[in-house]
Amino acid sequence: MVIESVHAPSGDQRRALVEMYDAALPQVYGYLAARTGSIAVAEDLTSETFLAAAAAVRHGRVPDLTVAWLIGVARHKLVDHWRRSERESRSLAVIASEPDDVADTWDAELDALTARRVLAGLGPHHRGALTLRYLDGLPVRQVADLLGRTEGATEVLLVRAKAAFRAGYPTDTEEAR
Amino acid sequence: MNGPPTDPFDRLAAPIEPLHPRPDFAGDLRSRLVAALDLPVQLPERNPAMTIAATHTRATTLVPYLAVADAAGAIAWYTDVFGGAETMRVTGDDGRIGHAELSLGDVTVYLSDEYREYGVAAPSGGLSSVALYLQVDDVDAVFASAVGAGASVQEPLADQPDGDRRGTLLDPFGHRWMLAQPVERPSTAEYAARVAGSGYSVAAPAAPTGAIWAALNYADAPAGIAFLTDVLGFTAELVVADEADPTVIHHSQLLWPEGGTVQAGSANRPGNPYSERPTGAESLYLVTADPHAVWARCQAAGVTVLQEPTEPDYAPGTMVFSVRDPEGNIFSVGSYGGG
Repeated sequence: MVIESVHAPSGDQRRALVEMYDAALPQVYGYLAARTGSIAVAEDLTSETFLAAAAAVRHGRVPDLTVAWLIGVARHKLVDHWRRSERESRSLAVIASEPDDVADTWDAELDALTARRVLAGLGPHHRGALTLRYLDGLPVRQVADLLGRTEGATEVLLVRAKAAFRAGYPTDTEEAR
Repeated sequence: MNGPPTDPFDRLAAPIEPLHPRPDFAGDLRSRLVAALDLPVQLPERNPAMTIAATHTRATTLVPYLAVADAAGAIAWYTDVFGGAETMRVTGDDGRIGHAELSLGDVTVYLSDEYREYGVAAPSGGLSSVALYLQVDDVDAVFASAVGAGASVQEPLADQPDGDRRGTLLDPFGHRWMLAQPVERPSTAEYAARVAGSGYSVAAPAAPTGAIWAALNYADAPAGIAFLTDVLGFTAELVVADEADPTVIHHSQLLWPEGGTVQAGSANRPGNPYSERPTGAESLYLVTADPHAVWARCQAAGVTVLQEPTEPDYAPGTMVFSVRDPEGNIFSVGSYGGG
């Protein structure tokens, strides 16, 4: 018989990507599932992430093939997703609902589950900004890069997003717990 | 921006919690990933010393090559239930078993994981286009063992009109097995009689006449032909007797049921040089799957025995015996058919 499967030369990232698939999949999927709250969307974005990674690897554009790099690809796919959702759901009603009060001081102690629910109810642009800035803990400059905005515009977006979040968060925080 | 310690939104920080997606999704995406990467297949360099000589006998059996969704599980199941051994396993860098070889008794089975990107998929939905017919020594035990290990019965074990005790089941990996133990060997006519009225009719294609026809001379050709047909079991397809003297046989075509032709004729016919040979001087070997039946007829006819039934050392597991016809020609009858 002919053994058709032999070890590739070390450094072949294509094989490396297949080898890391089992370990990386739950990380990428877990990241996306927690941020989209939807199995279907998380699966779509997970597929997009790995297929984009495959394309990048084939073109030799991956300096460091790690799970962290894959999460970065997933984050880009997430931003693309919000951008699509925003285009689809953009309406006067959403924009009109943006609160004028943009005071950026609030000392409520957020309940994680309630916060997740409130976040899910926000428009894609607010949700995306808050997710990148706070769930992922990225600096404003990086959020701006991902969203394709200036840092100043991103600051404004974040302030508006937080105001929208506060507006949607139950006023009686004791009741919310 | 607010200082991090006082920003209530910092409570939203969500470190990644690994989450396993549906297995179907994970498997499908793996296949798509492997296909998208278009991984090169690298063959080891050929070792000239290992090159198979052109004269090497090729395998004469057809080896089933099964695709299963869980090759490792299938290897364990098949070897356990059918009492075999794994003799080869080739695992790909992606963790899939690309090739495995199993020895089940004296038969060989190949299998591999699914490679949907190459069109290799396990049977699904209880449908399978190929059945695996496997003869075992104790079909009741093996069948029960398979069912106990999770196979589903498609046709219960029963004595079949073709002589098998046989049943059909679907193994946990979707493959259909016909497990059989031969218990008798009915003739085609007997088989046909048993299934008459069942909605099926039985026919066996005519035995090949063979590419070599042996010619025998008999001083008493009608007696010789009677021996060949009635005792040994030839079928008289054609007998050409002399019009004036029917005891003179000019030509005959006697078919051996499992293939081959003998022409028996009268010796020393005037003007026929082929018939001018000594009688009783020939020796023929007849191949049959059931030499015992021929032996039984020879004993009943009281023929001269040259060699009692024996297991030849050149072919363990077969049987051969030799007798003489009324004029001294030797007929050896055996189940060894070459190979």
